[in-house]
Amino acid sequence: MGASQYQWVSQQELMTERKALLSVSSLKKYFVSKGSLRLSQEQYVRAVDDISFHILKGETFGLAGESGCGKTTTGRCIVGLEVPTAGEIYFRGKSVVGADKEYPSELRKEIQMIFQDPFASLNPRMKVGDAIAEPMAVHNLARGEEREERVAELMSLVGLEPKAKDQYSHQFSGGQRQRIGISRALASAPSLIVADEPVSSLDVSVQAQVLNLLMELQERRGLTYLLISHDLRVLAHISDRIAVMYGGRLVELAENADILSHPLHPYTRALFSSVPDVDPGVRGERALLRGEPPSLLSTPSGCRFSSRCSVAEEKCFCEPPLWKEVEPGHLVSCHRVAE
Amino acid sequence: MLPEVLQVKNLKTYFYLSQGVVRAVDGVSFSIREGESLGLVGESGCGKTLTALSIMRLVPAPGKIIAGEVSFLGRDLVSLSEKEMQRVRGKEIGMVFQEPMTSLNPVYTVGEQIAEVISFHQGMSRREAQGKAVSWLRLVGISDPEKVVFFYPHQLSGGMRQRVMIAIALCCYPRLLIADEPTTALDVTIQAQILNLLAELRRELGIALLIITHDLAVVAEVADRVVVMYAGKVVEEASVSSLFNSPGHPYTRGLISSVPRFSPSRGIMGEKRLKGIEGMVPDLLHLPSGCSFHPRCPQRFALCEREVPSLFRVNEEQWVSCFLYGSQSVSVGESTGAYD
Repeated sequence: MGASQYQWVSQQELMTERKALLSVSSLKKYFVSKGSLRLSQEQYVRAVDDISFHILKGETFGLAGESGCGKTTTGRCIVGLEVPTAGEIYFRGKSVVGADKEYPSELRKEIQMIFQDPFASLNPRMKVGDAIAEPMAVHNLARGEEREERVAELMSLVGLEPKAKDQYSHQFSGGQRQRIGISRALASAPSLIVADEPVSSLDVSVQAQVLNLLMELQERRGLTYLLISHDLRVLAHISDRIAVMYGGRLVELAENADILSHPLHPYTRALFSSVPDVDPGVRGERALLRGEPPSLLSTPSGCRFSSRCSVAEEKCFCEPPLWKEVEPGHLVSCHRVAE
Repeated sequence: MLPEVLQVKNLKTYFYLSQGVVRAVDGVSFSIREGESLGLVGESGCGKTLTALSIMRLVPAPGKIIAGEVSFLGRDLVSLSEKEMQRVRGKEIGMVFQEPMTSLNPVYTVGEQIAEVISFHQGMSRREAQGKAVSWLRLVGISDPEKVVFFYPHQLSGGMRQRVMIAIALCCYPRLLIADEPTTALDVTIQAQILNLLAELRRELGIALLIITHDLAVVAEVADRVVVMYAGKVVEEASVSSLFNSPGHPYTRGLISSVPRFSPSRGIMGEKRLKGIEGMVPDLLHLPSGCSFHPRCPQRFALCEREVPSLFRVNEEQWVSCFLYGSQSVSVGESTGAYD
């Protein structure tokens, strides 16, 4: 698989400014796919292919990308739902996750996940109070009355009536279920929350309420978020830094205002210009992307985006670009930008 | 002004359930002119999809159209026989659904599915129709149409399937295209491609468009006029510029302020919270009295709890159903149409 092509020096500088809570280093996750014609032939789906980034303490780190770009797999590796093929994940400076490591149980307390579908992620046969208390039971956190109190406290924290603890999840609306999911994620007092499309299945008016709740909880509890979403408006609204993934790789990473006001990578530009805004005045020509994302089974040898890129040149088709810091805190992997 | 293609007057589609009556579409009126694009927006359960299904006479049981008129090019679709209606569907009115995988038949090639519509409505032979299918695939922007015409739906990506759906909907040159959440299941770059394609084809073929969506940004992008629905009723109708520049109904205002803007926003602490709307969409079986929106409305007053407001004209291109703009209420059985 070769040596990682990432440059670390500049990021080290960033780390000294604010401490990284979680660092992902050359993470790879390949899935085996049996060839359809010859069953013996194994192919790899390179869902995540050598990505590195830091999540700083107290920030909201937004991970953007279209379906199949590997953003969810990245999140699942971080919470321990997938074992990475290669690479490491550091938490508070300590290497905790790797291909040959058992996922440490303390980490399950520290890192929690909010799922996309609040209808599928709650046990229909469990009272919501018990569902919220479950992480405390697993981690042996509070007992008896104290646990009951904590459940009530958590429920009111996310805007639910503590009295509703004896109801079942089907008795709640989508927005309320997502609140249950959030309070459950908070039950073990984690420091990092991985939220995978937390508002995608909700109506806009409810989506706004849940986003407000996430921001409020962050301020009150000093939480750090990894927010994974395809919805760029949501990411633009609440992320401090935004990373864009394409075909299993990171293509750009920068501070919110930086990346939104001047995206550098051709893919980021095309992606951002595809986002319709709620202003009929800005209706107009967009930098439309032709074609569709490449299959992750047979990735091109050069830049993953080269086949759809409007400024690609010869080099882009044969040589993968380096992940470089082109401005302070603004990282891009593109031959044309780095020139 | 161009003539109207479709006129919906006081349409009511109710579901009679053992628990009670669900007034899914409750006195909806609007019209679409030739070549115009009308957006129908609202959150889940507001009746926007059922309005479209009622126009096409495809309301699922136990739902029934109990009142109203749907006049399409001068004919009332509600009173047509099922056989006559079949000649309208797919020929004069095309429809694109949200989920292209579930609306395409998995055991037929896409060519056969396009050809079926053409030969059914235009009496063409299968061979001729298959040839037409190839040119339609090319028109909707599929590369290698001669090959793709023999593909089955599972061999296509979501965006390509939606292009096939659009080809099927347009292949008989309908006067009206109804698109129900045509881009909701798609990625944003593919969404931009499809919206662009719809706009181009609409211009070229002069088709009127009824686009149904929960996404206000899509409406801002493609619609000329917008109808906002809430709990089965029209709460506002306006040109796209008035709707976004001076939304009249408190619900419309809440909806617009719920959408995060795509601009660098983090850091300006005061603007970080989204305004949004309190509470949630009511259960259609237990609708609040008076104006259905009043429990969530920041500007409600006593009258709102008792009476249902009629649709008031605010200016030439805007009607709002809210007592902030007038005092006349709707009595039972009366219509709320602006076109009466």
